[in-house]
Amino acid sequence: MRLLLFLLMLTAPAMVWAQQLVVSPAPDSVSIAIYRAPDRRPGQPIDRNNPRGYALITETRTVDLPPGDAKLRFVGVAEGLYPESAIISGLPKGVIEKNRDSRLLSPAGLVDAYLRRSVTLERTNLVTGETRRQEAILRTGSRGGIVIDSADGIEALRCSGLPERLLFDGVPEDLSPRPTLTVLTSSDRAVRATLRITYLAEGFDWDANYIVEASAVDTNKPASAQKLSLFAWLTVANGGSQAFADAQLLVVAGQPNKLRRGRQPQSPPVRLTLECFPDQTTSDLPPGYAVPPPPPAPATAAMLARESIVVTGARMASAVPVAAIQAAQEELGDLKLYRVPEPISVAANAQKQVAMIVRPMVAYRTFYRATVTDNDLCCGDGAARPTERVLRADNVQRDGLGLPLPQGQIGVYEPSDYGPLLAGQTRIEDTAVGQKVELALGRRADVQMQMGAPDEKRPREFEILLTNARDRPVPFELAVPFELLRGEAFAKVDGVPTWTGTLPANGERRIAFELRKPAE
Amino acid sequence: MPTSYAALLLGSVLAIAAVQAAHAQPQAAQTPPSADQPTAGSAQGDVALTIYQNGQSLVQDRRLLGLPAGRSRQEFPDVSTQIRPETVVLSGPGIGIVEQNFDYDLLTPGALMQKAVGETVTLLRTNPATGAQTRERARVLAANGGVVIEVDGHIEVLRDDGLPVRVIFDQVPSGLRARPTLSVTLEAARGGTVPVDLIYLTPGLGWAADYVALFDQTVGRIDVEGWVTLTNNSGTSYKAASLLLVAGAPGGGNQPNYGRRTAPSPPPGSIIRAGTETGTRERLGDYILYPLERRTDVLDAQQKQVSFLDVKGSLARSSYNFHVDGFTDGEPASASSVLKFSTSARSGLGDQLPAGTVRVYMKDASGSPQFVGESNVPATPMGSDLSIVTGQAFDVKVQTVVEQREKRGDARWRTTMSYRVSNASARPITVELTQDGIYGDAQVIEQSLESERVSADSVRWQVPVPANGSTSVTAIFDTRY
Repeated sequence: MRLLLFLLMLTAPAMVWAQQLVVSPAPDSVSIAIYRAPDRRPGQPIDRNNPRGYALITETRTVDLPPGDAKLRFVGVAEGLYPESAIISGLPKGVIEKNRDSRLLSPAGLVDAYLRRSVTLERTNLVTGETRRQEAILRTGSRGGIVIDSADGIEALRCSGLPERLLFDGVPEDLSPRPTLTVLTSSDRAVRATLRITYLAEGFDWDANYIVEASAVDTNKPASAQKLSLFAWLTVANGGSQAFADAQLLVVAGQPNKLRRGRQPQSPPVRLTLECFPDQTTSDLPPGYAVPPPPPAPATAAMLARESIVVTGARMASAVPVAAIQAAQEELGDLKLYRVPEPISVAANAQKQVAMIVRPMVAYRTFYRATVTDNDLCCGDGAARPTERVLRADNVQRDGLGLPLPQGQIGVYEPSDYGPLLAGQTRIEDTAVGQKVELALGRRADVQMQMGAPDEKRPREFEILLTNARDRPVPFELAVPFELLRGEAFAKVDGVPTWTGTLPANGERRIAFELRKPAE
Repeated sequence: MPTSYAALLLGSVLAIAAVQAAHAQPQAAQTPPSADQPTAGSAQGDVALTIYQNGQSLVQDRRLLGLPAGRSRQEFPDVSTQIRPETVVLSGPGIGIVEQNFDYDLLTPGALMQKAVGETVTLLRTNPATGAQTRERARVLAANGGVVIEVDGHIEVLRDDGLPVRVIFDQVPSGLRARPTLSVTLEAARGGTVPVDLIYLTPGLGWAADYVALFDQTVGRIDVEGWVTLTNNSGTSYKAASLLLVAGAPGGGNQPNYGRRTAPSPPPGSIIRAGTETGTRERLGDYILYPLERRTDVLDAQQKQVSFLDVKGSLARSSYNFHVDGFTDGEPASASSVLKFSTSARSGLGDQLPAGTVRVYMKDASGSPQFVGESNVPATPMGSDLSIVTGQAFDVKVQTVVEQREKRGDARWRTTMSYRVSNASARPITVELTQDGIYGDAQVIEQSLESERVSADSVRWQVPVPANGSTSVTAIFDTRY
């Protein structure tokens, strides 16, 4: 304690003032690793106006440090910077302290900084154009109008109806144009240092956007010959106003924990509102009397024409693009990292796409699926309902896949004589190697399931009619998530009794089963 | 008096003692100008800040006052704009306090005019055609909605004609101030320059710890850097202040928390075993003190960070856990990635950790550290075993299936569960699999792997899973529900 006290006395406050300001205008190189918005569900698109993910940004900067203490200001860092996450390495004697200052240079900021200080007041004579300057002292802060004290006496600024303006001698050193990161450091001698600055910043997001092109079901070929082409865009969005040129771009898949973060210190109010004395006159209009707004402008010819444009270009042959570069996947602990192989620019308020997955030959099978529900057993009305078309693939090397699939949106296309048609839009969760991939493409009216209404006399026995209006046989899976006493050709899939079979072309199948106990 | 407030006061008294010990010798403080006198700069003297983690802070401001002998009223500008005036304590040699006031009648053009009602002001009218100025005296009769004045026996409304009129007041009425002002009437035994200590509590200043943990999985070590993150939202800057940060929050649970972290965020890191070691840090009762070595400026709207911990190569290991709540079927779901380390001296870290956020980084293939997740840690004594959930593992999934569920008698159920733990990564792992929600008198009748009954409600398996493989565990439970 005594030693500390002694040290305190040695480091007099005067030392704090002997700081030189060193400004680092821009990074030499930047690497950006983007993390997905933690609360965005699979399939939910990026909110481009307010991306809720974040990024780990690593910059290298070169600075010339003077001997002694120096205050280092970093310009051009992402505006969503979390200052508590900033790590700065490469300083000769390390970091004494890091600061994020958010007192902004603004009309109100200037007035507050000059409170009780002398400013110049300039008045312009409206007739002669002549200006007159005089010294005045600000007697109030920025809230609720300004009172000035000059040789003439005490007056309120801009309450006389005459042109008056304040002139300030300089910019107060505490105020900055935008929130800044500064570091206090020290060096024995003048030195050129290469710094690495790493920080987390909000206002970024990424997603995987898959394009699947499935060949149409062809029953003449064996099922194993059916292939689909899987392609994925790596879509990144930067919602901030800071652009990053020639950056190394990485994205991280998986779910790292991210805590909800409290508000950063905010700048004091920046708007200056000059309130005056009560200023009603004897001829003021009553409140609420307003001129009606003008009617909206009529639609222009250009606007009308835009609505009737028809695209007549040639149909593209495939929905899957050809990638020139592709992000490479690496392991990162329990997460997956994707690295874009060459430097690219991440512009401000922009979204960007790079290929991340290209798998042209993936074995898959397609089938129709229906599930018996509680409602069917107790109070079904016996009506037919369409069943769901599903694509299924195994995420294994043998089947042409076998790589981590990060969560995202999927568009499934099928070729047709008119070019690829969108067969369905769905989503995928984070899928590890070895897991199965199931894409539900929506309900199809051609294949229907009809379950008889429950019979009070035989409450445990049910029959289901499956109908197929297509001109070829279709595979079908019927799940009955209840315990069965009897059921032909039922087998357990993930614990659920499931009937797997084929519906004949333009035909039907009847499936009967008996529950172990009646529905409640 | 509510208990929490008493605790807060007790904490303050302790802290005052600490601050006075730490800052016993005053710096050569400049004589501050009086509040009424226009001046540049701050009226603060030698400032010492003691900042707690619950958003309450103690400000000790040693000013030099030029006092007349006897009774005088002294103003103290440049105190925190969020000052809790009821907590102010002023003390100095030979000084007795008569009364303390906190005035927040602010000087604005409107207030200036209100206070001028009944007084005489000067009007300076400008002729818009010729620019000629005429000066006349006017009496302000009222300022309600508009200003009614009496000039030369006529009554008129100020600027009724819309022409420019400057209103010049003779003086600023006493009692109107630029900012809320603390004033103290005191009685001095002798006149002269006297050092006084002004002590008060203010919200708006707070701190938390932020940790950077760089984890090297191959050798099982972490490098931990600890940073104190100090936030000033108090509306006031403190120049060249000496700082003391206190880990622990003195009562005041009912005080609004102005600190940076308000919402608790699950899942937090948890202390598996609380430590029993004592570190070398300075202590004050149950609080741990973090004094800053040098004086610093704590500016308004600033977030400041200062290092307090830097440890290399402390032992750590990664692990996985998965909780199944009740007997339910589930799609394959990711297990949690867990980082386990100890704060004991033997493992290398050897320090207590103030409550804060741990951000975990790992190196990618090119050697740059990348963020792999973060978690809150509670205030952790030295020697504790910590377990932090950093995220969900992409490659480690658990699928649960209720194979069979049978009713046995009135209030007995027999449930067959199977758990498939898969590992798509290229190294063998062990997953800590916990079945929760089995309730009191439950039994495991049969199981494919030896389990541990960790509580009445839970059983736990340590499931070894080979690289790029999977392990299935089955168990039959006999339960009441």
